[in-house]
Amino acid sequence: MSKVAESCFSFLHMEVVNTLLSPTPTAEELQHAGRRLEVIGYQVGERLAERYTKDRPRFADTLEIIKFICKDFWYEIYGKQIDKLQTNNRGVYMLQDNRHRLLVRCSPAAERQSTAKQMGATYGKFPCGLIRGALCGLGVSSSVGVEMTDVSACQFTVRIQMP
Amino acid sequence: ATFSKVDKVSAELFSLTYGAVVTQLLKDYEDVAAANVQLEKMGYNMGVRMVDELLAKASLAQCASFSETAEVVAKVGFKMFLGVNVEVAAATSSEFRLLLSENPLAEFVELPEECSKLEYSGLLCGVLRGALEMVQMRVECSLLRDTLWGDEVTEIRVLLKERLVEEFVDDDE
Repeated sequence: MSKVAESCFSFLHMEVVNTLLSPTPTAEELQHAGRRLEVIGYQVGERLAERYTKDRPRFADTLEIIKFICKDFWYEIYGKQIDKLQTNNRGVYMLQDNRHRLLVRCSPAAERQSTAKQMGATYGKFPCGLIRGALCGLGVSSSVGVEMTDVSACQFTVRIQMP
Repeated sequence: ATFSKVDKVSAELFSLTYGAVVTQLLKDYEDVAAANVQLEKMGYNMGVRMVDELLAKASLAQCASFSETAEVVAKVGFKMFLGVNVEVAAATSSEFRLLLSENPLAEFVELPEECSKLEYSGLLCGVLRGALEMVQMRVECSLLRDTLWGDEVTEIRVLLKERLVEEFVDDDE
């Protein structure tokens, strides 16, 4: 499997965020940018899920699919697994990534400290989309939210939509 | 050798993400020429950051000539970030060409007819311009050939316009 430097991908992602935002973004702009990043992530996630599952047996249930995302899928993409998976057994899953690759290079400028959390949330939108896209590609529709728990840690909340 | 030391992500993630970004840009601008400009600009900003990364990770001595710069760009830069081997051709004191037989950016891409003028790999031109400007060389890069246009290799020409002189400003007046 061919690889590129992580920094290369991080810088690309940063640039995408930059082109979507003005130097001092408003809350509205951040939201809009977040949606765009989510869509990009979604398209990528859907395709990657297809590529990574083409040689494996069918999944038995949703939990197995979620586990696949946490382990193999995350590992293929980021070279690490999701650190913690929790579920309420009623269609809500919490995925904790303690050191998300896209976030470790973030250090918000002084004038942006107040919006650092929101910026972080914007950066988390791309992986949100990845998860939602991958799930959708595997036949599970869901909504995915993200919350920053620490500087470079984030928690994804996946809500499975029951048919 | 530096490539084995850096953290890596899947090349598919990178190329598919770039593809999705280009698609979005084309939708936003509805114009291939405007998208080309934007891609080059994104590359420029990436290059500015990448050269820092390169100088931090690879132990490099100062380049004595422009053709030596070409070798470093091809053998160290491209190798470290994209993991590919790039050939240098026609290197002189003010110009060189880079030949990419493999291009991770364009892995899954085919240009539709209405986008045949799209400089999909123009990002790389921007990266080179940004990175070299940070080390005091103002260059002009252009995409001469691209595998996406049906050529055998992707070829980038780098022209040295001027060597910038570092200006020191005394700020404790």
